[in-house]
Amino acid sequence: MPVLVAIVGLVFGAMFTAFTLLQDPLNLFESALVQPMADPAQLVTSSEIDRGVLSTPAGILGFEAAQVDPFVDSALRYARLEVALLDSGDGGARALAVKLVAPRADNSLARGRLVADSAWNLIWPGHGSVFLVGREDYRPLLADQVWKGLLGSGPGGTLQPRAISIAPRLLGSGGRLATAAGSYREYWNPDTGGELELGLDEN
Amino acid sequence: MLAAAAIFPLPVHERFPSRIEVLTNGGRSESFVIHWPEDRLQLPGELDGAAVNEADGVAVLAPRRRGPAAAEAFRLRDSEDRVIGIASRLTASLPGRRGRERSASSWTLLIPSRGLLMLTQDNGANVGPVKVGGRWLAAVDSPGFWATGSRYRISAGPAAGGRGRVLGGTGEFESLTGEYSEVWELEELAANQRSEGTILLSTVTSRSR
Repeated sequence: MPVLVAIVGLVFGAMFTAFTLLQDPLNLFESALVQPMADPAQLVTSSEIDRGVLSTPAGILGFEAAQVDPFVDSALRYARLEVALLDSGDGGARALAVKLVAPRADNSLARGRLVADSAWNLIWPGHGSVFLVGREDYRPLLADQVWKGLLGSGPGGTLQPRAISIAPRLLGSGGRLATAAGSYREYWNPDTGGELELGLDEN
Repeated sequence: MLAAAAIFPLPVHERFPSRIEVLTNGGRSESFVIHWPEDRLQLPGELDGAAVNEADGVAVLAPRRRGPAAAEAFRLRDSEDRVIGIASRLTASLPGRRGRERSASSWTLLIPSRGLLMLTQDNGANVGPVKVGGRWLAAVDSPGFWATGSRYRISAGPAAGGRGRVLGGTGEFESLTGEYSEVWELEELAANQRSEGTILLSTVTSRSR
């Protein structure tokens, strides 16, 4: 009987620890602090070139170190480059964009921290350009994938679109957007990949 | 479970000693080097073929009534020639203060062990891609680009002295702003106009309040 109690205790302890690490209940209240953007433009990637490690929990955990030149260099083995065309979907001009991502050195699974630095540079030829910087939080995506693995495809076991941006900000801009203010938010969508929501107030 | 999470080997990028010079009148100076063509990341024409064409290592967006925009990517080196990160450059014609279009570039420097740094400038010459015989070429490989010299200072503002502007960044570069200059130096020019050379990005930054 004592052995059975010990085993049950260990199992429940492991499950509680896993839940705490993956869900980080203290951060459940953070969503209330996210400011909504006024009239944001939804920018969808119409085509893309990727180089380096995938922007996924597996990539950020280090399971997918780049094997091809030039990312084999030890200083950039887990970094990522994306060159993309972004469409606003309303027939407006398309933007050429570059995104750079790298996992942070202070990540820690024990502290539930799985974050990458990221930066976007968008340019609309003949119009303007914007620089966006922020961080991406991969812990919710990892939690989703673990729960999906445990629960299968039933209720609660499907992957949901997630906002992954932390502290996103407009760092600078040029051309006709030189005096613009605003912010952005990036989503990871299990069906369509990444989506960028850009809110600009063109003064 | 907690112990396993604590010792799980998360990826860490190698960090080399930063080659930073502290300036006597305040601020800090750091230079970054790129060698072309060896540091150029090839960007094959996988983007939408109708609007984006493949140059040699350059992704080009060419809208009908506008000049082209180009994206390039390179390995980034420190002043001792060690690979420390990735650099991307976007180039296009943009309206200036009086509405007149001028060639402008923006750089994003990613040094994974340190953070991101973003730079912007007006270009003294048009360094965007050039269409020759229906094919886009990088400016450094276009006919006649090196006809007037072998060392070009590309930066032409908007900061004082014709320098570009360091906008800031993340990590160690958080709150750093300042100025920079971009210089292209030709080392070899083949008969078919293929060139070899160096891009030097020299930054002077200080902590903004």
